[in-house]
Amino acid sequence: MAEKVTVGRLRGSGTVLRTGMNQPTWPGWFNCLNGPCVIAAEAQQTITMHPWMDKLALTASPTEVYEGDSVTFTPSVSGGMTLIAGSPRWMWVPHQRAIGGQVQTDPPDTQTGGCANGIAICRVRVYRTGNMYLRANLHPATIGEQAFAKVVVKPLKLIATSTPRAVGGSLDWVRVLVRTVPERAFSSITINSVPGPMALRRAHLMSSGAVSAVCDAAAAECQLSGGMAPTSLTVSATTQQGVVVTTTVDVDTLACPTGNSLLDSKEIRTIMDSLWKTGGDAKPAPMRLERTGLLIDSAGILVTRYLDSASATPCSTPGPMSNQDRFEPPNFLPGVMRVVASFHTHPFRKDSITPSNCGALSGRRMGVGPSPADWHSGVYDALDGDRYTRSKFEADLLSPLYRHIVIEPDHVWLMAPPASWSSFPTPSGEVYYVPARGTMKAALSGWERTSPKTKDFCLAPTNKGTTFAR
Amino acid sequence: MLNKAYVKLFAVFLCSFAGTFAVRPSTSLTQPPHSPCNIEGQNFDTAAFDRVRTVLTYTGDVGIDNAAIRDTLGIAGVRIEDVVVVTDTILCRRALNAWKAFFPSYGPKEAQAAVQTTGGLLLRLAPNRYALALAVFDPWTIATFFVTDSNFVMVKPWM
Repeated sequence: MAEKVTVGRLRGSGTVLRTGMNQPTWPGWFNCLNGPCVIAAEAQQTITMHPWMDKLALTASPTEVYEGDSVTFTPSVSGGMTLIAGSPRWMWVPHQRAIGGQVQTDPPDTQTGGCANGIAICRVRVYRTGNMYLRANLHPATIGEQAFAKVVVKPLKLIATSTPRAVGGSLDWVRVLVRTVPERAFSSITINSVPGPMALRRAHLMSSGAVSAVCDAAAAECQLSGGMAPTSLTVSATTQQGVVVTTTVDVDTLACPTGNSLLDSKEIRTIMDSLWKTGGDAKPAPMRLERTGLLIDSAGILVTRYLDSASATPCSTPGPMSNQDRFEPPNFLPGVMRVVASFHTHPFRKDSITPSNCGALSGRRMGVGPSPADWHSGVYDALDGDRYTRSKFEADLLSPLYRHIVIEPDHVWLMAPPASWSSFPTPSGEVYYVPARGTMKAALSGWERTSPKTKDFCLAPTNKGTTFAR
Repeated sequence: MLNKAYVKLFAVFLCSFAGTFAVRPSTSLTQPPHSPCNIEGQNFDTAAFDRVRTVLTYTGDVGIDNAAIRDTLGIAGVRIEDVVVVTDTILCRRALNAWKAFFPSYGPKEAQAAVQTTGGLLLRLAPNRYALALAVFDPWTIATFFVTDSNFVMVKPWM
């Protein structure tokens, strides 16, 4: 049989209850004549006591934060007692962290002046999980009381992205965009480079100097110069709260670099090539489908999502940015993920006649470039989604360089937000948005697809206009 | 049929084709609400005029082959100056009814749009060619076009 034993402080006052005393046998008076009169009796004695309830409590707010965030510790007193002014003594004790068998004590784990002794409410930045201890005297208690509150500190993650992600060789004009998850402002950023063997050889041949980086902490980016790709960059950043975070980012090499920061990545070329092939450019016209996809920056890693084509036709498809559920947990992690680009294909050449299974778009002559609906679903809906995500999750949905990309047999079109929009409310209550007159040209860049038309395809900028220009 | 009372108004629109004046919203047509000659959606009249101008005049270097479209619609040789806005409600009604009879064949969404649409901007492109522009969003041309002959028999459901 198990018995629960609780060991703790007891305090209180009460009466001793003595029960079951045997009545002594009455002695004769003569037994007490020559000294103290002792009458012995046996009895059981029970002492009833109550556990002392802690009268001092400490609350942390919030109880879970990221490195460098501030936490407020507030004491509370119960049982009709009061905190004696000037008596609080604060002590922050971070949990010790063992790395390689050795306990690490890393600054800055010291509490700041915000929690000086005597302060009644303490606010302090914390950098590691730990406990805040408070010792204080209560009135009218006779001894000091102690309480503690635990705070869990989660690490910041540093994400660095090179733009472009791949170059022909030289690192000149490569920018490195830096951010933390969750977002924090920086006080400094530094970059060190470890060039690959091929890059070293190239640098030697081309008399290229070492990589140097000019970083703008306020803008959270660095501009590289000198050096050759491929190279691995070690990025260290210090937040304005004093948290030091480090990560690495690679700058790769690419055949046919365009100089465009979005187009020059292997990942984007792979998704464009795959979407194009699955859209069925080589199939008979009625069997082709407009296909859509997303390129997502997931904590610095580019991942691709090929979207369902169940309701697509050869001439239309649901917009990749139109379904907000796609960008909410658990499908999407706001703050960690950002949409770098969205895509759709136009699987027909200019002047092709659209097949009969295109509904209201059947029998039409194909143009080139984005249609008005493409601007609405690819760009306006994306910006709308970004506004929604910011209000609901306080995080951006779109990467700063977000573009919607239209892939055609002979062209690739990059669509950026125009300077202003025109709205078209319909009698049924729907509203469509397209770039306002004269604003589309600046928001659109066209590229001619040249051979080979594989993931190693080459692109050349074109000044040619789009058919659907307004 | 051209209504004389609106000759001055047409001049404004014809000038607007040439880009001299900004095209006013469809309410400036002085058509009452729910008139069969009134395009109801905001800015759709501007979009419709843009499209007509593009089809009749645009010869961009990689542009769609508008000459082929003009041939298909039977409006080759039509100049932008020849286009007039029809305000005869009987003609507008006939054109609208022809479109309402056709458009639902695309599906339930289109059928609903046809029910909700009570008017359109009817343009006479040529004596035997009319184009009814409707405030139903078209993915390619913004306004939906319905091209007919003078008996309002469909030639093509697009422009």
